[in-house]
Amino acid sequence: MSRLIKEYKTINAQDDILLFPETADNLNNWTAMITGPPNTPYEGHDFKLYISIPDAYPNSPPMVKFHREAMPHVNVNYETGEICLDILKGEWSPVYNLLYTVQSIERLLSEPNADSPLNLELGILMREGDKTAYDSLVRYYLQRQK
Amino acid sequence: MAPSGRRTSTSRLIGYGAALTIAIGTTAWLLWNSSKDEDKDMRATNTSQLYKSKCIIVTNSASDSPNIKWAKILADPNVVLIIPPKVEFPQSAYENHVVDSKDIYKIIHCNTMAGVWACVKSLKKDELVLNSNDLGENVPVDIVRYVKHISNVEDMTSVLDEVE
Amino acid sequence: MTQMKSKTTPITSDYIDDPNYEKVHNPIFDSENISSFTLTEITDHKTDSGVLSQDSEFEIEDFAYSDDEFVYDDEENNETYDSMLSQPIKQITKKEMSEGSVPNLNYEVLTTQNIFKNMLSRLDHLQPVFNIPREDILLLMQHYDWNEERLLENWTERMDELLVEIGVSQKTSAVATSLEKKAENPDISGVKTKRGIAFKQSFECIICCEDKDTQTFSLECGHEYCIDCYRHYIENKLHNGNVITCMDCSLALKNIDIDTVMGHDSSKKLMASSIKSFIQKHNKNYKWCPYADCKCIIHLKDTSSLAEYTRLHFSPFVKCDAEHRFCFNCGFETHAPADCNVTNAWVKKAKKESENLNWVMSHTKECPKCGVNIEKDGGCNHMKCSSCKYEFCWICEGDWAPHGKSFYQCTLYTNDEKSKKKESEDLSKIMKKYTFYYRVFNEHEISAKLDWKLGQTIGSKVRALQEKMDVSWIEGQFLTDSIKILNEAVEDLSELLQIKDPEQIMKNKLEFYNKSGYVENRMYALMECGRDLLCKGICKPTD
Repeated sequence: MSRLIKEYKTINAQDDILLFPETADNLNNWTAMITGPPNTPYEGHDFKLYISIPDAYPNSPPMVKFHREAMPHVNVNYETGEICLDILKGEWSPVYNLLYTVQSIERLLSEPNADSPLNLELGILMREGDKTAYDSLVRYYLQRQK
Repeated sequence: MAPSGRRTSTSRLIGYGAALTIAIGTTAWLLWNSSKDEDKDMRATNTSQLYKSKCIIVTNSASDSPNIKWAKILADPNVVLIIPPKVEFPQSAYENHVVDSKDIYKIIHCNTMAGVWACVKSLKKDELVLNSNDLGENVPVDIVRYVKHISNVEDMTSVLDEVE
Repeated sequence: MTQMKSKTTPITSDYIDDPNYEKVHNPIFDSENISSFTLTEITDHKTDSGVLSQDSEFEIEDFAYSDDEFVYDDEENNETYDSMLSQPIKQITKKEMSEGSVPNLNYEVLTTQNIFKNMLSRLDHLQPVFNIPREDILLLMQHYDWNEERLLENWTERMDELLVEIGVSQKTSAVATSLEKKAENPDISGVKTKRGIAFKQSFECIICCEDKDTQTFSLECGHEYCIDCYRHYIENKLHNGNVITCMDCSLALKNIDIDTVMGHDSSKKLMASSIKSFIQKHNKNYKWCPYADCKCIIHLKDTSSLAEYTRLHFSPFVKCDAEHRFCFNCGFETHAPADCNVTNAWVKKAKKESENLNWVMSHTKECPKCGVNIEKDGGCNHMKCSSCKYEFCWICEGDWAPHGKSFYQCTLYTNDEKSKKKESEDLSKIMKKYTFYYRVFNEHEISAKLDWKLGQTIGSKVRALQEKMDVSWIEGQFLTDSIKILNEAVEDLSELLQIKDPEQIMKNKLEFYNKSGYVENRMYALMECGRDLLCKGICKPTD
């Protein structure tokens, strides 16, 4: 628990980070806002992340999800918002923290990984190297939600 | 033997009950019947637009056709255009601002045919409109799992008119 | 009025006033109780055999023959027979395999410990090549999934890079990652920290963020965490089979470090899981014995002959050290004379049908009173629930009392049953066919088990007899041989084996040989016949 309190204090001290517990008295559920990186189809969009902390944290990774049907990304299940990222699974190390996790997910937006697709169609587009189609399809999904 | 007063009240109760049941039954039947009629009406008007959302693979013949009002088609929130490789979507549509800029996102350009089919599968629209002759490629067999209906037509004008 | 008590199956049908009823088991429930054809159910099978041995009047140790008790002239025979007593029937012997046109399977039976020992001895061979401590080679080997060739190839190409990559040696401080800097450890750039446990007062661990007097652990990289956090971390990683590294960099923990932190020999667990993942990755050559709790691994070096087995409808049966026989191809129990395809089709069918509730839907009803499933296979509609004794009408599911004497037709119900029947007719035909074969299968399975039990009992008796008779093992050989064959197929040989007079037995020696030879040949003929049907395509798995 003291680990989470410390993380909370550190995060609170920085003011450019949009990562906060859902309620101040419960550090087990957090939300984060990430902005679409420039020069990606996600530019100009904000995305909400839902983070829930397992009891075994920091020995187990936090569980992080996008809102359902909000993130068209090759490593995100569009229907559920589930994310496939190595550090959220086997590659997690207790030295990582929530901030690092959120930053990694932000990085995932500009560096999609075609080898572990949760969105099969986008995975095919990436493998085919059809970046035009990938970007326009992503834009279509993002725009449609507005 | 039960007292006669009791018996009359019991039979009266049964009478009320029966009347009530009949009333409820009739109402239910009427309601059900009317809803059925409504269903029929809906179906009659909708036959032409049974498939609400459309994914259109634009090919050169359609792109060049002066009869197809792309701007109008794109105004429909449930329509997506897929532009396969080597197909020029009428530049005029962009230049003259015929297509509303807020609808441009519904035009998906692809550089590969694999990309085209992946987009179709991803979008999962009710109807897929295309001209496979013009496209020079057959529709992959598994596409049927992703769309309810495939309109493979020589002249797209006939199908696309219905969108309007 | 007849009445049947339900015995084991929850579904029973009681046909009152119908003495010619036939009780039919519901295959769905039978399959749960009896079949031992799926992997999970092999456990049941195992316990069954355990029960059987308890039932017999001799302890199981009595007939656990050890190999050295047998003196065989023929090595092949030894291979063939030495396990028959401890095995239930359906099995094909290696002898039979060699008689066919497929090459013999050369396999070895291993355990994870065996494999680990082999790995260690290979380390000794590799040590002069690498010229680094054995512990470090172990890490390299783990990283390369115990694939020597690939390791050696990379080793000669880029030795130093490899050592850093795998975490044997440390990166130079110039390439220290940002994360390492984040550890805020002043030691990082200069002095090397000592590997091992230290005791620190008021140590603030960045993992649990607690400030306490505690033991800490760190590698040369200086990333130091409290021992509790390290223990949690290692515990989590022991079962992944991968090299465990420092939490913050790629420096690897050696087995000795793991044991130091955990306080006991946890590295064994890591080695076991590493070997497990090795087997997983080489599952063409290595197969776990499918029997529950069996730790044996079959290693088939040359898999080239497997295709030939499949082509000729043979099955590559192997036997582990615990005498479990299974098919190396499909992983099921021995299934001769059926080949893997037939077996698979049957298992799939059985699975599908037991999941198929349609049959239950069209043939059973719940007792209107107590909810027990009742099955009706014809006859009168006057039902009596075997469970709660409620009497009701099959058609209208109402109380029987108002039906009076009309046993065969419900007058309280508009009789549109006929149209309903037709709908379910096709379904029931298919089901009937399946049920028939399933029952045949089950009955054979049960009798196989019973025969095995019989074989065990006779086996132990013969053994006792041999001891009493004081004949040498070689002289008494024909007896044991006979029992083993008996296990394969019970024939009138059992009559001979029931002769009690020792003199008589010795007199009939020739007859024993003849009969067992006959039984043996018959069994092979049956097997061959089954295979022939498959080869010629006369029998084909459907669906």
